Amino acid sequence: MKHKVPYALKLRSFPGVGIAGVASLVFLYFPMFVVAAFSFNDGNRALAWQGFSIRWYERVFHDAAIISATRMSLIVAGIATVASVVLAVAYVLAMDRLSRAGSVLAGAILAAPIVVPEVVLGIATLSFIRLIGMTPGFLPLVLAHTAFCFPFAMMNIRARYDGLNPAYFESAADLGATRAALTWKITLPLLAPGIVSGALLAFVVSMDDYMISSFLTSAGTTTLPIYIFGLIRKGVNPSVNVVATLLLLMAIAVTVATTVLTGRKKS
Amino acid sequence: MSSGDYFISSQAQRRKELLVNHASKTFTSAEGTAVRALDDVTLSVGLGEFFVMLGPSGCGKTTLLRSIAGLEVLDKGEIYLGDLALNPLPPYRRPVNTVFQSYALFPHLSVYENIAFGLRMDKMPRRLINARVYEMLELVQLADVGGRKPNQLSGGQQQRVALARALAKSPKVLLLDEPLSALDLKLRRGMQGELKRIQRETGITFVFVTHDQEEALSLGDQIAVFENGKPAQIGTPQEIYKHPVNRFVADFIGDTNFLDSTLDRGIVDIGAVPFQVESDHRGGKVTLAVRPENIFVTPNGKLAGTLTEFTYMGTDLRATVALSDGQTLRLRISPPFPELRPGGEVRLDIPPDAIAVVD
Amino acid sequence: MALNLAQHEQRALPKPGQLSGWFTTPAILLGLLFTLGPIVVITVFSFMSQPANGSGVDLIFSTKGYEQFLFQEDFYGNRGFDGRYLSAFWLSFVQAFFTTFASIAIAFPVAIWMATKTERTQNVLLMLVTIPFWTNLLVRTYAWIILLSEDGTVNTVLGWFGIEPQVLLYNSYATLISLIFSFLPFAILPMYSSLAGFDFRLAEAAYDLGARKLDVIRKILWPAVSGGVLSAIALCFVPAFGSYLQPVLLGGGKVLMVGNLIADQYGQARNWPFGAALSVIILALTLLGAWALLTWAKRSSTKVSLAV
Repeated sequence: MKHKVPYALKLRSFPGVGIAGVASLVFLYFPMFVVAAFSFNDGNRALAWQGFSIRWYERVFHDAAIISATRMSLIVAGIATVASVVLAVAYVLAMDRLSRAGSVLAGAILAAPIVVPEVVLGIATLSFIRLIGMTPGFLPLVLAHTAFCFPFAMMNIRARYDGLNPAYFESAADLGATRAALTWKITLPLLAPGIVSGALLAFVVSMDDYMISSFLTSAGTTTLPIYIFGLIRKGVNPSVNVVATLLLLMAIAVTVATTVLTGRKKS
Repeated sequence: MSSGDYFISSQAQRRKELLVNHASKTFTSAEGTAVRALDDVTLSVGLGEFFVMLGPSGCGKTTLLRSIAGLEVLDKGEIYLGDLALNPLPPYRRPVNTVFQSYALFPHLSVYENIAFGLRMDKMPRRLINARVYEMLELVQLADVGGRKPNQLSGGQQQRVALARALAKSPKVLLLDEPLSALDLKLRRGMQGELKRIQRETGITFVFVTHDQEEALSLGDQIAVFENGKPAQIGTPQEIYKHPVNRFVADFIGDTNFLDSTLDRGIVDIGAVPFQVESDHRGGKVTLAVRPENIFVTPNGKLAGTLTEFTYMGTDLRATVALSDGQTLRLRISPPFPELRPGGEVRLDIPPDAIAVVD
Repeated sequence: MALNLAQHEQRALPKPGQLSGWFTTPAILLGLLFTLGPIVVITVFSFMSQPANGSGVDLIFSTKGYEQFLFQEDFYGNRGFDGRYLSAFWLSFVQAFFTTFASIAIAFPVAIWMATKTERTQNVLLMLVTIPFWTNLLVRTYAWIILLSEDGTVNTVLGWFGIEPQVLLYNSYATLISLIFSFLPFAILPMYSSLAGFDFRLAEAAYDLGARKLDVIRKILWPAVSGGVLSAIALCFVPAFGSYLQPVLLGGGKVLMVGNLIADQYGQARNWPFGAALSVIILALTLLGAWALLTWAKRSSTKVSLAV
C-alpha cells in the first residue's frame, strides 16, 4: 500500500487553493459552456432546451446580415492586423535607435490604447476624425483598429526580439550580410513566432472590439460585434448563441496557437 | 594624425600583419559610470600566428576582438590588416570572421545552410558553395550532419559547425571569442588539439580570446596577458611563464609564491639569505615571484625553514615552509620524495633564474 | 582626418540587426494621429460649447462641460448642485473597486494553486485562463444573460428545487458578477506570472524556521505576488471603471455608470463638450491612479508590467 503523506508534510500544498482553482475554472467556463450547449438547441427560443440540432448553425451560415457583418469584421481585422504587425516589426527593430526620452514617450503613446478606457478612446477618435473632416466609415475604422491593435502585436514581437541572442545578428554581419540581407534572411525568420502570435492577438483584439467601433461605423460598415450587440439588445437570440460559440472557438484556437508558438518560458 | 602613427602604419604595410594602433574604448555602464575597456592598446599579430589574448573578465580582451570584427567602434586608434585600414569598414566588409562564444548558429537554418550563409552573401556560384561547404564539413570532421538543424547537434558538434562557418569564407584572420568555454573539460582538451591542427593546416591567423591560462599556454604562439584594458605582457608561453613582468601576470599564469624583499645591485634576500637575480629593477623594496616547482629540498640548501604542513597529491607533494622572516613558501616537490616531518627543519635551494622580480 | 570622419559616421550606424531610427516613424505617426491626437482633441473639445442643435462642438471657449458635471441649470437659469453624475462616478468606482478586490482575492489562491503544479500542468492551466482572456467580451457578457434571465439556466435549476423564479437580471449585482467574470483572468495572469518563477525552497526554508502554512502564505507568498497584484489592479480597475457593455446589457442601462453616461453624450444626448469633459476627468483619474501605482511600486521596489 502506498504510504500516505500527512497534509502538514506536503510542503507545496496550501489550504483551499485547490478548491479556489477548480471553482474559478468552473466560474470561467460554465457560462461559456451553457452558451455553446444552447447553440445546438432545436427550439425557436434560446432558453428552453428542445433537443439537439444544428439548424441554427445552418441559419447563421445563410443569414445575409451576419455574413456581411462577419465579412466586414474579417476585412477590418485583416487589414488592421497586417498594418499593425508591419508597423510593429519596423518599430521593434528600430526602437533602440531612439533617444531614451524619445523611446519612453513613443512607448507611452503607443501603449496608451491598453490603458485608456475604451469608451474614452472611442469618443476621442470620433471627435478627432470629425475635426479633420472625416466621417465614420471604413477608413477611420481601419486606422483606429490599427492603432489599438498595435500594442498587442508589438508586445509579442518585442518579447521575441528581446529574447534573441544579439550574436545571431552579429555573426550574420560578420559573415558578410548587409543590413537588408540580414533583415530578410536572419531577423525576420527568427522573429517569425513572435510575428505570428502578435498577428493572431491583434486579429482577435480587432475582431472583439465593440466599443471603439461603435463610434466609428456607418451603415455600410457594420462589424460583427456591432451587429450582435444589436441582436442581444433585442433579447436572447439562438443565432447569437451560434456566433458566440464560433467566437469562443476562435479564442481557443488563437490561444493554443500562440501558446505553441511562443513556447511558454520555463519557470 | 601624428607622423609617429603614420610611421607605424606604413611599417605594418610592409610587415603584413594585423596591427592595433593606440586603440581606446570607453563604455558607459547602466549606472552612468565610465568603464575604460581599452586603454591605448598597441599590438601586432604576425600573419599565420596563433595569437591568444588572455585575461580575467572585463580586462578588454573581448572588446578588442569585437573591435577587430567591427562589432564595436573604437573611440580612438586604428586597426590595420596589412595595407587595409579596418576601422572605416562595417563588419560585413571586413576580411575577418568570428567564432562566437555562444556559437550563434542560426537556429532556422540547417548546418549546411549555416556554413553556406557567408558564401551566399558573397554571391559565390552555387556549385562552388556546395564544394566549399563539404570541404569545411570534412575539415571539422562532421561530413554527415549537413542536413541537421543546430539544435540537433551536441555542444561539441555545434562548436565545430561554428568554426566551419567562420572558416568557409577563408578569412585573413579568424577571431575566436572564448569558443571552448561552454564545453566540458574533456571535450575542451580535444578541441584544443583540433584547433591547433586546423590552424596549422589552413595557415590562417587565429586571434583567440580566453580566460583559461592553461588553454592559453597550450595553444598560443604568442600570448597577450590583458590587465585593465591593455596588455600587461606579450610574449611566447615560455617567456610569460618564466619571466612575468609584473605581479598580475605572475599571479594570473600558474601558481606562484610572492615574497617581499629588497634588491641591491643584483642581490635579493629571501629569509635573510642572499640570492643573485637578473633584473633591471632599480633596487629597493621589491616583490619576488617564485614558482612552487622551482624550489628544491636538498640537504645542503642555503635557505632554512620550518615545514608547517604537507599534502600528498599522487604525482607530487605540496608543502608549506615558514621562513625565518615570517614569510611562507609553497613547494611542489616531484618524486623521489624526501623524508619530511611536520615541524621539522628543511633546507631549500632556488636556482637564480627561477626568481623573478615583479614589482 | 578622413578616417576620423568615417569613424564618426560608423558610430551613428545601427548595430547589426537594428534598423535605422526612421523605421519607427510610421508607428509613431500612427500613435500621434490615432491615439495622442484624439486625446488632445477631446481635451480641446471639453472646453468648447455645445451647438444649438446637432452633434459636434462650436469652437467657442466654454467651461460648461465641466460645470455640468456638478451643477444643473433649471428652466429659469437658476443654478443648483446636481449630484447625479457624481453618483454615477461613485457607483462606477464602487463597482470597479469590488470587481478588482474580488478578482484579486480569487486570483491569489488560484495563482498559488497553478504555481505549485508541475510545469506541464501549469502550461495547460495557463492556457485555460488565457482562453477567456481572449474571448469576445460581448460574448462573455451575453453568456450571463442566458444564465440570469427570467427563464435562464439559474432559474431553471432553482425551479428543480421548487424555488420561484427570481429577477436576477438588470441590476448592479448582475453587472458586478459579469465584471468579475470578465476581469478575473486579468488578475490571475499577472499574479500567476509573478509566482511562476517562485522558488518554493524559500517556503521550505520558512517551514524549517518554524512557519506554519498560513505564515508562509502571508509572509512569503503574498510579498512574492505583490508585483502581480499591482498589475492586476491596473488591468482590472481601469476597464471596469469605464465599462460599458456589462452595465448596459446586464444592468439594463437603468444604472447610470460612467461608461454609458459618456457614450450617451455622444449618442442620444448629443452633448459632446460634456462627454469630452467627462472623458478628460476619467483620463485624469486614470493618470493619477497610474502615477500612484507606479509610486507605490517604486517605493516597494516591485515591478509592474502591463504585458500579459
